[in-house]
Order: sequence, then C-alpha cells, then structure tokens
Amino acid sequence: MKIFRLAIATLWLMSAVVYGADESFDDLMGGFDEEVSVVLEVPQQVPALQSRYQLSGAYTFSSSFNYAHDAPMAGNTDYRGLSRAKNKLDLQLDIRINEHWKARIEGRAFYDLAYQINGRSDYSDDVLDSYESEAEIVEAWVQGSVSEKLDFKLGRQIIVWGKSDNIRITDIINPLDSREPGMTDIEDLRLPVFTSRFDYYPGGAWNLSALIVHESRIPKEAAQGSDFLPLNVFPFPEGFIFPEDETPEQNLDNTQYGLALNGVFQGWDLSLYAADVLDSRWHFEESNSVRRYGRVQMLGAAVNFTAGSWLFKTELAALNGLQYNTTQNKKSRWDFLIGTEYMGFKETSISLEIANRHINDYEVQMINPADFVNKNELQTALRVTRSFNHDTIDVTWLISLFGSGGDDGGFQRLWANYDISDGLMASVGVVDYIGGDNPVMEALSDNDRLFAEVKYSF
Amino acid sequence: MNMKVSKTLMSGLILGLLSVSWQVQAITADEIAHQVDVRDTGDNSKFDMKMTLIDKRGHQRQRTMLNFSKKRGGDDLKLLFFKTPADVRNTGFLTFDYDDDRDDDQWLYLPALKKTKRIASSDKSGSFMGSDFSYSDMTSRNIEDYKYKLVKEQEVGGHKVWVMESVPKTKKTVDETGYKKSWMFVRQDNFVVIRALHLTSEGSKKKYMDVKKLEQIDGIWVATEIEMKTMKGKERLHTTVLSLSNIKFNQDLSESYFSIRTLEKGL
Repeated sequence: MKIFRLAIATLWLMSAVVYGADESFDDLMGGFDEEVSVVLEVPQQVPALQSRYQLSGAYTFSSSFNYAHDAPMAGNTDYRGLSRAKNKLDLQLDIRINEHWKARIEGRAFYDLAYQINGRSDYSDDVLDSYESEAEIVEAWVQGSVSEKLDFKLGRQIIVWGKSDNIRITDIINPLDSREPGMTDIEDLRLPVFTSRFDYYPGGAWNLSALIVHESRIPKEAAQGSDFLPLNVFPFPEGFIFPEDETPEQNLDNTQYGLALNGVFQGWDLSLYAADVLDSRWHFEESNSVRRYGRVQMLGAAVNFTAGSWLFKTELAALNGLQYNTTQNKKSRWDFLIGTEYMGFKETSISLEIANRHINDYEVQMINPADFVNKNELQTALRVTRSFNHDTIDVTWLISLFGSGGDDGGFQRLWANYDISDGLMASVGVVDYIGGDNPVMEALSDNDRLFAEVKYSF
Repeated sequence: MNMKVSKTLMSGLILGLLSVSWQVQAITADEIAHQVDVRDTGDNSKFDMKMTLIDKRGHQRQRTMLNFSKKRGGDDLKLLFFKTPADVRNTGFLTFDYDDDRDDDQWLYLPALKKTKRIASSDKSGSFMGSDFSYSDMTSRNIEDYKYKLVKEQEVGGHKVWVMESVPKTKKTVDETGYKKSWMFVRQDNFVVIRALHLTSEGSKKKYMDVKKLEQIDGIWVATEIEMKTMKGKERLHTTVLSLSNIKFNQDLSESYFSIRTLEKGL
C-alpha cells in the first residue's frame, strides 16, 4: 500500500512536471513584446566628434564632517564638525589640430565655504592659503605623431608608471597632492609636470618611452596648522619656526629624466624603468631653516600577468640618493610589491597589494624625529568594490595599513557612489584614520570624517 | 560606474549572415546552429553604439560608445571608447579574443587616472557594463558546448523562424554563461537569431533578447537595435536597448591600431 501510494505520488509529480513544462513554455514565449515595445526617451547625447573643439568638465560640491576630534586647547584651531564645504569646477578644452595632432588645456578652481562658515580667524594663514581656495592649470599639452613609429607629447602632463593600483613603487614621475591623505579624489592625486615625452614604437610588442621633465614641481603637503600636519609630535625647540618647503629653481640643472621600456605580451606585461627625478619627501637643510626635496635615482621593473579571473602584479625598485633628517648619509632603498586582483565574483573586484621598503645601511636613529622610519616599512592595501543594481551603485572599501599587522597605523575608507542620472553622481562615505606605533599616524587618528559629494559632469 | 571589459562585442551584436536557400524539411537543429555560427559578420568594422538602460520604474540611463573590430585569423581584436556619459568619456577597452582556449587579453584605459590597466577575465555571467547583457552574451559561443533541439516553426514579424532549444552540455558552460537553458528564434531566410529566451541558473530570472531592427549593410545582416529585458515572473526588472549606427565594414584598420598606443591616445 505504501509502495502504491508512492507510485501514485510519483505519477502525479511527473505529470505535474510535464504539464508544468508545457504550460511554462507557452507562458515563457508570451514574455516577448510586440514588435516595437520600447520607446527611448533619452535624446541622443553623442557629441560631435568631428568638431575641432570639445569643452567638458565637472562641477563638484563636497563636504566633510569631523566627528572624532576632542575639544582643542586654548589658542588652537577647533577641527571638530564641518571641515569641508568645497565648490570645485573643472574645465577641459580638447582641440583636434589635425588628423595626427591634438591639444588639451585643463583648469581647476575651488572655493571652500567651510572656513567662512566656521570663521576664518580660527585658521592659520597657511591653512587658508592651502585649503580655502585655489585656481590652477592642471594639464596643458600638445600631442601627436612625428612619424609612424614616434609619438611626441609636450606640456604639463601625468605619466603613470607601474602596475599597482593602491601603493606606489615605480610610479615616481609626478608629485602627489597630499594635503588631505585618504581624502583626495583619485583623479586629483597626481600633479602634472611640464615634460617632453617621446614614445617610440618599433613594431611588435615593445615600446620605448623617454621623458625629459622640465618642471621642478614639489608635492602639495598638508599646511602648517592643519589637522593633517601634527607638528606637536616633532620635538622642536621652543620658538622653532617650521620652515616652508622650497621649490627648486626651474633651470636646466634641475631637469629630470625618465626612461621606460614596455612590453605587452599574450597574458602578461613587462615594464623596465630608469629615472632621475625629484624625491617626493622633504628633508631639513641649513640648520633646519629650510625644507628641501632632493633627487633620487631609480631602476625599476613591473610585471603583471593573468590566470583566469586572477591578475597578479609585482614591482621592484632600487632607489638611490635618499636624504633623511637623522643622518647625513644618503641612503639607498629596495622597494618591492606583490599584489593580486580577483574578478571572479559577480559584480565584484578584490585587490590586495603588499609592499616593503627596505633601507640599506639603516641607522638606528632614523626611527627618531623627524624621520620616523624603520629599516623595513611594510604597507598593505586591500580594496573591495561591488556594484549593485546594474552599476547604479558602487560600494568600495579600501584599507591601507603600515607595519606588520598594521602596527604603524593607516586608514580605512568606506564609500558608495550612486549614479543619480547620466553625469550626475552622489557619494557618501566615512574615513577612519587608524593610529599605531608611528607617532605621526597616531596623531592623525582623530581625523575621522564623514563625507558626501555631488558631482555633475558635462 | 563600474567599468568592466567587453568580451567579443561585435560578434554578439552583429547578427548577420548571407542569405541561403534551404530545404526546411531537411535541416536539423545542429545544422541550423552551424549556419548561424558561420554567418558572415563582416570585418574591419567601425560603428557607434548606444546603450540605454531602463529600470523597472522607467528611469533611463544612456551610454554611447565607438567600436572598432578586426579579425586576425580566428582571433577577434576589439577596441571600444566611451563617448558619454561625461564622467566616463574616453574610457577605453582593448580586447584580444582568442579563437582557442586561451584567456582573452584585456586592457582598460581610465582617463581619470591616465592609466592603462590589464584586466583579468571576469565572471562571464556578470552584467556587461550594468546592462541586461552578460559578458557571455557579448561573446561568440562555441556551438559544440550545447545540445540543440528543433522545437517548432512559427512566424515572427512576418518571417518564418525555427525555434531552437539549446541546453549546455556541461555545468562549466552553465556557470560561465549563467544560463541553464535557452530558446533561439532563427529566421529561415537569413539565419539571423532575432529572438532568444534564456533561463538563468540563479534566481529563476528570464532574459528576453529581441531584435527590433535588422538591416542589411554591405550585404551583411546587422541587428541595429536589440532589446534585452530581464523578467522575474511577470515582472520586468530591467531592460537594455542596444542601438547601432554609422556601421561601416572593410575599414582600413591595421592590427597595430588595436594597441595600447591607440587606447591611450584616445579618440
């Protein structure tokens, strides 16, 4: 009887499956619409590419709110609360000179209302100069083909070396905007420099790129009095005036050079680099009365290769001529990075990079102010990005840590970008500065902020 | 916007083939699949593409792109530049889609970073640039990976079609494409797939591909407007419309044009 009931049940189930399948097929086919079912409401937005001039740009309003600061001591700036209400305008003009040559000029200006709102008198002149407003030419270049195998680009430009995305090893040509570490938009991070660039393509997989950098441009550092320059961790003598950093003279003696040999192959890429450029780190000179940027020489290599959904990358740089504050001897350093990126999860990318900077002939006093460096400086960066709702929302978590296990501090940032409509994007996020054994990072650890941004691109 | 790299874009978009007379009674499902596979899709091509993304509330977003394509033996070389929206303008993709089992070579140029980045093969069942098309939809499929069955004949838009059922032979193919079963509507006069229905392996969603406009350009049949909509039950979740224009074949595109040099110099 039990077997009989089971047989009946099985027959019923089978018939149901068959019936369901037949019905399902007709239902499924009914899902097709009539011949024309979609009326496109969005007008054609294709710019006239044939036009010789194209103006584009973006207006951005960004704000941030510091939520972790303690009340300041008397006479010090109160960095609690609103720390940014910045209006920024980028304008870019592209000019098609002829079939082989084109030019670009890009300008950027911003004004941050936060200082007016909070009271300008609460801030140092350096802070106001650096953070309240700015207008500058970003990129300005002319580019074209001299011959079938030779390209030339002259002007203020950005040159990106290396294969890594989150940690710089061989990417040393452009100085950085480090005024708000962890907060700077990635497109604003590198500062263009006036350069003559020659790219030779002999055919096949290789390309040789030669750079002559005419502009001695120094990084944009956090201003004195800002919450990103914790001078209190430096044991300066009383009355010590922290000097301005000095831009090297713009002359032929200060010309910088770079050479890159790039190979592109099936499944992997290789780049070899040589450079003699300005160091990105300042050091005191003349009895601590001036801060200067020295020259460094680099030989480097970068390789990446893919295996299925994995991208592996590695970089190696041998640097020479590094100057420090706690020793008169110039140092050499080995910088090494390994990293991977996984794209196998749906709508998700995961990137991990680990780098070590090893100072040769390290001297124990280099751990002291104003260097604060270890013989080996480990850095780890992990980035996870996931897209939702047909790429309408991207959520990213980035954590960057110094020292083994993050002992020396770092930061983590979580943010979401939302495409409100074409060209209009809103972002919200939080950045958490992580303290640690490094006194500078520890001093920055109460700079945590919430931030929001609306950007309209046109 | 999450920037992911196209697989073989052209081969999936341009569903063209030479007109062939055929004895309907004699043809099998495998033969139809073969004829679809060997159809002429043109070479050395250049075209504009407009991708309109429509959510279930009718809110539309649009991307426009310029595409270049060339065959190198059995390999497909692809170059794509975004023209709009403004925040991704001049973003470029370069793809070498190999005829054999080798992974594709893919590079992405990000103008905001001024950087070219090699890209690993992503999950092929994932969304292509936020659209209802998956990466596998944009890739020419290996017809050997499927079992075909001729289901019926009917008319669509006044044209006789074969309705073919295709089922992946292996779980690997299911995982790669994200589809556990498909039906294709193949026009009998020109072997163009003018409709397809895919059942997804996850989430019990259905995806309807519908060719809204089919044109013959330089003797090659080209689907110039394709709709892909994603349904769950009776609910339309999302729709994508791809429109192709300014289609030109037999352009003077050298192999060296499909290079990082071109990618970085941009349009």
